[in-house]
Amino acid sequence: MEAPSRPQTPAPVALQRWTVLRPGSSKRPWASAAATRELLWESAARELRGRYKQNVGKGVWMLVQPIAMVLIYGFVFTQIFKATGHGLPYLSMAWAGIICWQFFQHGVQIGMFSVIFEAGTLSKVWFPRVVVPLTPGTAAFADLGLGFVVLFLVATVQGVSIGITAVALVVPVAMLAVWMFALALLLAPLAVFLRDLTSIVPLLLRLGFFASPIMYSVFEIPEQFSWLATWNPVAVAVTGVRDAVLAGVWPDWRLIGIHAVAGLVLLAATYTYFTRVEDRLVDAL
Amino acid sequence: MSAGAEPEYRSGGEEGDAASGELSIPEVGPVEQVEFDEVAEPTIRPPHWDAPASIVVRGVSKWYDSRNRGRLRAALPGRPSKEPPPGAVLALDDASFEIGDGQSVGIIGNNGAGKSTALKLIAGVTAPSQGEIRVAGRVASMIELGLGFNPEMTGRENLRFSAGLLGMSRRVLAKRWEDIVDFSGVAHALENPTKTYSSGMLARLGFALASHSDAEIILVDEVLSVGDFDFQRRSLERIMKLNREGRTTIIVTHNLSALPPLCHRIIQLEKGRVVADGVPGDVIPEYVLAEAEKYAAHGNEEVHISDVELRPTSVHPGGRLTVRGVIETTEPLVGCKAVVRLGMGQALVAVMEGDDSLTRLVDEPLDIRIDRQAGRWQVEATVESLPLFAGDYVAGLAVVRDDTTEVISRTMPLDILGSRDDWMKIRVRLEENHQRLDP
Repeated sequence: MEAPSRPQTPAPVALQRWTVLRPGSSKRPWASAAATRELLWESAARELRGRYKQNVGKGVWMLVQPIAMVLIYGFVFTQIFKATGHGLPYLSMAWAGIICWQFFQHGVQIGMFSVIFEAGTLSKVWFPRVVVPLTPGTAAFADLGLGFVVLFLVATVQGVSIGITAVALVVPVAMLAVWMFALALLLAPLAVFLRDLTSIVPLLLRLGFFASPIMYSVFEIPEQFSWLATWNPVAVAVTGVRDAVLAGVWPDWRLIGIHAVAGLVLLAATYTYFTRVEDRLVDAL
Repeated sequence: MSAGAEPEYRSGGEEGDAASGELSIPEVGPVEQVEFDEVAEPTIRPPHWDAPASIVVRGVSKWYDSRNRGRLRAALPGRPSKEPPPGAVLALDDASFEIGDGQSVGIIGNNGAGKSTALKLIAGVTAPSQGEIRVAGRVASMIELGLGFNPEMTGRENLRFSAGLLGMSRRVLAKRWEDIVDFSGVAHALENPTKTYSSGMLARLGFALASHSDAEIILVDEVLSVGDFDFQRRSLERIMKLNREGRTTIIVTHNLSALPPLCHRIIQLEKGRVVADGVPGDVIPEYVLAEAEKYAAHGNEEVHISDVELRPTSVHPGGRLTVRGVIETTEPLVGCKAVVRLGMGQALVAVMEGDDSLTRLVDEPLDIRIDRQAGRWQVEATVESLPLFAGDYVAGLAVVRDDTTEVISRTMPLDILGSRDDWMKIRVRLEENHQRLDP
């Protein structure tokens, strides 16, 4: 009667793993790394499917927002502020900046809202909850990938010869992803406790968009503000991508490395923070 | 980390129910004994009564600190306050109990008694404010059916994602896909977005998935009130089957009559405390009587029940019972009707038919027009075959308003003899006759 597809008859208590819940510290033996990863994939795939489900063009819509941004901000920056590519074709340069920024912004901002959005599910069933704030960033990789395909096309049309250095783009992108996930893990629980953040953070991100060399080249930054280019991980990542893909030079390994290490330290800290407060999230939702 | 056994948390006794020995309430943790009003000796020995505990709740309190909302302090990691803040409402107040491996336990109590909080804590969704909870194995909550479904996505896509939430790997899901889809009965609509589903279809899909997980512990919250009759019957059967296969089941419902066939044991919560713990036949009638008294206390003077008499006062399951009494009203009681109270709830009793447990609700009001006509009524009603298993019950007459609120009741103790197994073959049939006496 017991077909192999049926749920297994449970093992006796003596062989079970125990979940222990205490105030402030809980022990949950059920969140294996593999299961968490699988759930994260499934969750990111679900976000992508859900996002473009009702749209006829599906994937094309992934590009509409960055294209619109490039057209609008590109006009403002090139025609009014007289921004140039500083040796690179402006359109390609701006596009490289936009796709990286969109990636970062989506992961951080939607990541922050994610726990609030998923309140219903979180308060009813336990699953590796860290998946929730990491989902938007993971899904954003798809948009970024598509963005890079377009970048290669546009750059080739604009006469850029893409060389071997282009493979190095994964390094600044990985560094940017670390920062994105670290901030999502910090902001998602914080926003639950401090709802004001949901208004403040989008504002700060808007500020960050203009403070980072997205629509302009890093060389436009005046001398007295050069720290903006070296201390800002988004600026460093975007410049790294531009160097690798468009300028045909190897990126600044040292600078990217420093930001990567700093990002990893932050990621470890915010991951720990998340696990320390995750049990209290549901009560505050 | 703690992959091995943790024997210090096993309560005494070995699994299996050797029929010898006295039946007793299981130990409630080594910390302290829970206070019971009275511990009645059950007449039968439910399965897994002495099984080692798979859920240990020790001195657990849970409160919600609303003052912390919007404060930076709330966002800081670290131990929350050890004392409940002044004025906080305790959802659970120093509750302790153990649930044995394989037991099927119903949790009852009024709204706000802490039932849902207890389930949330066992599900691991939130942590206790005080005390400790230990749970052996995985938990599948059927707390809400259609959990985490995205209305824009198809049934298939939603199943895949929700399976992940329940800890089912893609491989396991693929293996059980057929079973799940068959059970849900929505195979025809699997490729449609779930926003086009009826609530019954969502419920069936969610239940089908949750009931096919590998979890050792199944939590059921008010599932018994969702869906149509056929779905309720099949989900009850499914819950019973999961329990028979050795899963621990915990059921929270206000539908008291559904509990006796499903549960070996009932835990009653009141204001976050465990106030009773025992077999259904003991705890549920006590609870119903206590509730009825509350109503009766602020009952009105317009209706009286007197001279209630049971014949016989002890009877075997399936036996015949005659209830007699006088109901007297001074005014027509609009919206009220007279019912036979049997065991628990009005004449609302669960009936089991055949072997695979058809559960059905029977509501048999007496045909007395007390809602239109004042007067004094002599009532005699006969229940042809009693749908109750062995234990101590009450039976009598009651007047209820709007089918739910009891206006007044008068009941007498009724002893059902024999063993629980007889229960399976019973149908209810109510015969009554009444006549109006002169006021």
